[in-house]
Amino acid sequence: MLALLAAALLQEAPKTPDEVTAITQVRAIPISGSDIESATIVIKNGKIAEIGKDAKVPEGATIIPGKGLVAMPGFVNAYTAFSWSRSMGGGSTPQNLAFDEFNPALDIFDVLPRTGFTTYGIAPGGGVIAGQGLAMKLNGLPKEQMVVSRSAFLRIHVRADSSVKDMLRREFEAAKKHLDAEKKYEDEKKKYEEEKKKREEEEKKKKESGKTDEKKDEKTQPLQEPKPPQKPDARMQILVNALKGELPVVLQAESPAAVAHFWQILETLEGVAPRITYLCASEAWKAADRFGEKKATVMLLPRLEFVPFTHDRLNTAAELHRAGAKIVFATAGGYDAHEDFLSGVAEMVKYGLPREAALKAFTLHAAEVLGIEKSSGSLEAGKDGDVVLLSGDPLSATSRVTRVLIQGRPVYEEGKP
Amino acid sequence: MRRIAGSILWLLTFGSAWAQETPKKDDTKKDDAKKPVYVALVGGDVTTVTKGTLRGATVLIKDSKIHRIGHGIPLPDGTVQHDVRGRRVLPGFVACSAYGLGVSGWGGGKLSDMLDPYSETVQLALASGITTAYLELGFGGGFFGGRTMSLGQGSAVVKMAYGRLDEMTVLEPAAVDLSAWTQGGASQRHGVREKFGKAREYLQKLDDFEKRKSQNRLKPNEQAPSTGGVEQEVKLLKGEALARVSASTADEIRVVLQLLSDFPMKCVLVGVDEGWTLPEEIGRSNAYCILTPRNRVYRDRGVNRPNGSSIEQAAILRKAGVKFGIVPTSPMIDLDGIAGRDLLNLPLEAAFAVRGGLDEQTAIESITITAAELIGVSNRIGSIEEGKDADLIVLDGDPFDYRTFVDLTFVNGRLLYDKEKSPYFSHLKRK
Amino acid sequence: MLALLFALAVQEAESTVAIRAAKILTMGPPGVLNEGVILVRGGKIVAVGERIVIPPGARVIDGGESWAMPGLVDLHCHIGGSLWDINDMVHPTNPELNTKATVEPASELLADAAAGGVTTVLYIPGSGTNIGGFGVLMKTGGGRTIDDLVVRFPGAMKVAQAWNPERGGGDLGLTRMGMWWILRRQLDRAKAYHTAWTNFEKGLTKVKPESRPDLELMRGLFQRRYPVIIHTADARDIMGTVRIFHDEYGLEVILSHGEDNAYRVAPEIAKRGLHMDVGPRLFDPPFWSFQNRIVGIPAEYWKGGVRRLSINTDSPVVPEEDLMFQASMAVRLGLPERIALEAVTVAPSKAVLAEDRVGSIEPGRDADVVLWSGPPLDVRSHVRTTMIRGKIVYDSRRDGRRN
Repeated sequence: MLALLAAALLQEAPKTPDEVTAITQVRAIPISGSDIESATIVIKNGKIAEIGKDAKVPEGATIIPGKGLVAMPGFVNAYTAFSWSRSMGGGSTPQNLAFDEFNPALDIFDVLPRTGFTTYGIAPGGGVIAGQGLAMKLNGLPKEQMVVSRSAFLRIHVRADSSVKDMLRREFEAAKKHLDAEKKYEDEKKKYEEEKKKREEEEKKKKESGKTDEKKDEKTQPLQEPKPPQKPDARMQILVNALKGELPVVLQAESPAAVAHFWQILETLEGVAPRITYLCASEAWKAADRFGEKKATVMLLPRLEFVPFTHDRLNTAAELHRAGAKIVFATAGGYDAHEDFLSGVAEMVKYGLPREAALKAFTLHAAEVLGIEKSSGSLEAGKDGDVVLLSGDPLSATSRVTRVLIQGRPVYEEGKP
Repeated sequence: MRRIAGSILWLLTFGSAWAQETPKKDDTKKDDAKKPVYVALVGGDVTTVTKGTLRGATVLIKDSKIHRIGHGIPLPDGTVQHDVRGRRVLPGFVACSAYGLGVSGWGGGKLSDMLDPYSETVQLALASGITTAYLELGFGGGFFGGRTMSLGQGSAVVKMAYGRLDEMTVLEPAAVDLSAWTQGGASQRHGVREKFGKAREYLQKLDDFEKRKSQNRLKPNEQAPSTGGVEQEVKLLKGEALARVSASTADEIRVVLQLLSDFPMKCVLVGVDEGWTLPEEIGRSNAYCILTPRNRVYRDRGVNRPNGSSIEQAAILRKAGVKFGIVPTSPMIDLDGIAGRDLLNLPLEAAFAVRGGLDEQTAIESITITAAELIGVSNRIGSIEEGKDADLIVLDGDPFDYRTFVDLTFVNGRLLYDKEKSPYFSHLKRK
Repeated sequence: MLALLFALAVQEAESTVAIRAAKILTMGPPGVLNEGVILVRGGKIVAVGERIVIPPGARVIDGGESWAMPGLVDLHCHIGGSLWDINDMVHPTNPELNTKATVEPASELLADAAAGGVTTVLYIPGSGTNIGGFGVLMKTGGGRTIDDLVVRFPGAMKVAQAWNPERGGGDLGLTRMGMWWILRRQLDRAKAYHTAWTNFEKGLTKVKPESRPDLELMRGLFQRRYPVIIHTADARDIMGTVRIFHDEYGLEVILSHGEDNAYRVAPEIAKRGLHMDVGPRLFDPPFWSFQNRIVGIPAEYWKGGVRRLSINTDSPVVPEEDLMFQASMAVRLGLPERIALEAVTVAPSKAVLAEDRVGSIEPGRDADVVLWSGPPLDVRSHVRTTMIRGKIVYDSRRDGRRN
């Protein structure tokens, strides 16, 4: 009786319904694979459940007709400066969080989704090792839920200057010491574990065979468990994580000369593998060979430069791409810069950057800068339902953004207030 | 056990040698990565500066060094060849006093931390045949490169290695500034003397300490003497560093020579406008000079001795055995339109010394080997000799001919400037 | 002692001097002579050629391996006086002023210039105002007073527009609008004055016009007895100059400086047959070319069709004695050699309407002859001897090397 009642209760307990949206017959540019001419994109509870030509539309799904439209992953602007702090120091403050300065109630956030940009990296203001930037999505939720990562990257601003270089050297060398100590401990611990296991097995064998070799027992030195190294303070840990490659780094430099000086410091540290995105404001093409050699990620404005003192156009992005570097486009500008962004990207393609690299530059590659590529940057099952619908090809001057979904929630629809 | 260990040991040593005799396919791949790069400049008139001129000869470069010079040199497979017949090959010019070449705008601290390997000034220096420069922080930079403020004492010998920061700094700091001696008054000079006196004392004590140490006659717990804050002066007295000081008039020059006679050391006098009035004294002191033949200081007729500048200065100093470098009136790249007075035309300043009676051999030395010597890098820079750095220029004529341009510039064996491919002068064809 | 020297000097001038040189660049119809002779008497050249018979009793100056050239001519010189006397900047136009008052014949700067082979200069006021005043065409040596040195006064009227005058003459003129208005007003006044006086001189009116010393000298401009030399900058300024001074007012014009891409209007200058006096800048900074090139200014004028071309020093911006070096640099930057040599001899003398006096070694010209130790354009050559009006004003062995 009780069991039946329980079963009935269980059956009747109200279940929170799945939020399902399906975009049908849309031309999809998933970024992670080839374009799909007529695709169905199913978003369930904020994540992409399925995308494909033959994906089935689940029952009860909200249907967004996509015929005649183009779907792309929500655009990612990996480096913005909304609400920069007033603190402009020259120092090393890796513990500072852009999160603490971030004001989610800015007017601009209400209108930004219209531009197709769903995801933003926000850098902290400040000095040389400025602090940690955040990654956020304009999903309309409270601050804590907007912020996808409070520690998305470490911003470093480098200059060709002794005091800046000396500071970076000092900080990195200190972090490296911790890293080395950590690694040494890992190696020693591993050896200890192996040795311990070996001895335990020997002991076991001896007990089984009943023999005791007293002579041997006397000779064997007692095993010493290695002492873990002193943990670095919170500040230093951030730098250690950056050097390990666990915390992405965005290196801001006014010119390739500053980058060259940074490389000079980095080259003295062996065995580190930081994940660096180079934000080189101008003339990055001058160091194209070195960026290419390192297969570096370079972040730029989608804007042509000029060959010095001439009217000849120079497509820095195309030059870097040709040399083997990875391109990311970003803008620290306001609303207009985001509105005009796609026309800038189109110009990049017009003057020689391959289309695929151009489209990745503000989707998947940008997500990688912020370390959020597992959830963002392409239309793939398992990733966030960040979808931008356009009236035509993203690189066409006549296309408009018609709808935007962020984590499955509609945040913009053309024509609706 | 021992026998087995021994054979293992034998196998390890001789076995591996045996294995090396038959290289596996993987090894050749590793060799490729380290294969030397050969570049040859073929058929030009090679002015070595130190060992005469070889007509129609070849210079073979291996990686970053000059490998062989001569006629009929066999060229290894894969050598990149440049046909320079009818042209001249010289060592890259050395600007022994310069500002604003490859230095980025407003910075601070060490010069090497302020270098900009991508600066237009570096390209222009290469286009003018300059491959090495002694740079100082000070107002400079001319039209380009920003005016670098003097935010600290900084000097460095820098190569114009475009795009390669790590190859730029050759020597830093490059000289010890002794201007306190000439610009200060009596009390400043007293201070300088004291320091050198201390340095000399230290060296004597050190010598004595070393002697007694070798004879085991040290006192218990005796330590080596300390330099006590005069390290620079000690280096100077030991000949391990170069001093540099500005001195224009005969009086100023004499004042420096006085210090040098009390404390002999390697010293460079900069400016030296009236040096021609006391050539033997300078010659005896072994001081180096940096001259600007066209610098005009008017003769004061009220003074009862020769004074002012003279176009014949270089020739006069040469006769007295003085070694000098030459720099132009504007020791920077100046693009405001006045032609021929800045580093864009370094050899022409030396040509003015020839106008004043200097022989051409010494004139070419003053912008190559001697300039390199007085900035402390002549062991690797300043002449075309086997083993020296492959910093070379190819000219379309006599370096002292006003119509001559640089066609090619190599730094550390790499071609960094080609007149035909660079925008600056490719439109000017030598007839 | 002085009287004796003076007497000797007079004697020197009256007797015949024969100069022998391995090469003579006459810069005139006699052309280039090998192992030639120049005969000088009374301060004038009486003959030049390869087969000249030297009259007995003539003093022979054996130049040996030297190259002989006419003394150089510079149309843009500010070093005739003390350097501080050349700008009176209260009124925007000052046609009543002239530099004759400021000449310092014993100046070291002039002596250095002569020792650099420069024998005739147009010594003009600075560019602090739109009309600085009148300049004097003078020698760089060979006399103790200004009258000894004058070739012709007035040499030319100096006009300046662009950049320098904007530093303030007191009136309008901060913009080109104001400047052109001021210049036109001045020219109109001068033209009216000239017309009134011409009519009076011809007897067309009986009313004698007012005599105005400030406008008197400007009459000579309208009579084309001497030119107006105009400091200009870019193409816009050149076109303004050309339109107003030449097209509208019919004056003999020397355009001076012409930097900042101005050579792009070379065809307009060539079309009107006007003279371009380039310097002191001989190249524009690379960005002006929009191709990151270092473009030689005199070469561009030449390529654009300008056939009346001279080079100056704008001394002291470039030292006056470096005029030949300026010519060398112009060649380096693309100007043909022959044109460069003409640009510092016959071309400037023609431009200032003095070719009958200076700029070439031809019978009848002033005996301004310079002996060079080698090819004059070669930087390694130096001046051995400078003769002005038959008098040796500089000899490197007698006086010691100045350059």
